[in-house]
Amino acid sequence: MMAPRSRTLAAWLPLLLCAGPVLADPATPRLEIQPPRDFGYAMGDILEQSFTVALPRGYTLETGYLPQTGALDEYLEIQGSEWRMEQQEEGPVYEVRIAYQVFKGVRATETATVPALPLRFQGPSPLAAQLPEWRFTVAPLIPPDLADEQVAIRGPLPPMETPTRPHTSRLVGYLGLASALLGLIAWQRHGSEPRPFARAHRELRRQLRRGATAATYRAAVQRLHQALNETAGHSLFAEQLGGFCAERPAFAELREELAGFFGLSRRVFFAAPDAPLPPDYPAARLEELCRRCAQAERRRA
Amino acid sequence: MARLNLALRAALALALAGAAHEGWHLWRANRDNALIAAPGRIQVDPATPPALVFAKAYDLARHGDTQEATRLYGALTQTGDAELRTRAYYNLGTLYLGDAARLWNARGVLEYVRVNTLVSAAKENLRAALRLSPGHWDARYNLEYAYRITPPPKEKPKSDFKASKGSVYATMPSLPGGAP
Repeated sequence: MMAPRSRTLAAWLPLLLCAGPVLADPATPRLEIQPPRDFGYAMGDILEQSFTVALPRGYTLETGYLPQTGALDEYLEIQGSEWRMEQQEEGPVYEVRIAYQVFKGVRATETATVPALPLRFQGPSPLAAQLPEWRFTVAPLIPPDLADEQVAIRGPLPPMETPTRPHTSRLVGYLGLASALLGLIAWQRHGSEPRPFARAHRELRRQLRRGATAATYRAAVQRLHQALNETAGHSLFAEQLGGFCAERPAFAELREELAGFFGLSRRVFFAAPDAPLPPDYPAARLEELCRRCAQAERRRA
Repeated sequence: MARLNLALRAALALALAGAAHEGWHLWRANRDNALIAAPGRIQVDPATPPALVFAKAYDLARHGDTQEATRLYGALTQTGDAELRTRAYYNLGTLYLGDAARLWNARGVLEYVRVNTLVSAAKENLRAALRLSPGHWDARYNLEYAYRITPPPKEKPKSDFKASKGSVYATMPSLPGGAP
């Protein structure tokens, strides 16, 4: 009586020994088997059979005849098979992998067999090869000395809670992103690169809310001049207003208003510096001009 | 600058839409989890999420309504979620196996047909679970047990028919006797 392991070797040995002389015959497929582990399998295990078959030039492996997914016999199922072909100088070389799933119920360690697999080829003359049968051992999961009525079957699986963590993480991420973008937009509107009229308008509103005196009025006019100078990049005079508006079309519609402002400035600072606030140009109009300039500035951005 | 501003606003709109989407999913997940914790409140209809159907089936099986639980688990095996299908197949197989084991241990071969039917159904479902998830140890264990309690096949009754007779004369009519 031969041990199962020895029987396996006995089955493989002639094939492995044949591999050498086979090389001499050009019309013989060369089969190389990567022998898998033949012990330690249990119910539900997947075992993989891999082999390489090198063919003479002009021959191909009929891959359609490789085993398809499904039941093979009463305790083996084919989980899947895959193959890869590499064209070499001597001819095509196929690498094939077949996965079997074991559904053998045993009370003690038993030997099982993967049946022999015939391979079919297409080519100028008939050619055949066969993967020999392969034996392996299957061991029980339930202790063999446990009587059937003493075996406690594994219980059903309870329902799983729907995971909330991914949604929470993504929600926090989106909210963080939205906050960052809001901050960026706000910073861009109010505090990024200098927006002279926007800042001037804020200051003017603050100043004039406290009440317009001659001093604050003059300061407001100066502030508006400062904003114009910052926007132009140099001190802006009345005669340069045409060029200023031509370079900045957003300010074109304010040209007349700005010319009026320059006229006011001349009156306030040079013509009648000690005169009371001009009634035709109240502080509110000054603030309105500054607001419209800030709008033009935003449009230009 | 204007383009950057527009891009920022578009990104903000997308981020807010994403936040709204995730918020809605989070709300739904929390609502479902509350129902899973109290499965008695689950009303199963075609629109019920599979996770809630599973919770309902589990609860029904626990309270002895195996028929309805079996029906719900069976419906879940047709869903698209592989993990849920695996769990449904396993629970369904385990449900059949539990019934088969009780019957087998109590009545043995006297309930041959019922045990055989239940064990076959258990094997089929546990095998399906293992095809989807080969590493499912509980399914492996229970499937091995299903094989253990599979009743032996019935012996066929012996036929009395004999293909060969002792003598051809045994089947031939006798020659008429006579005398002159």
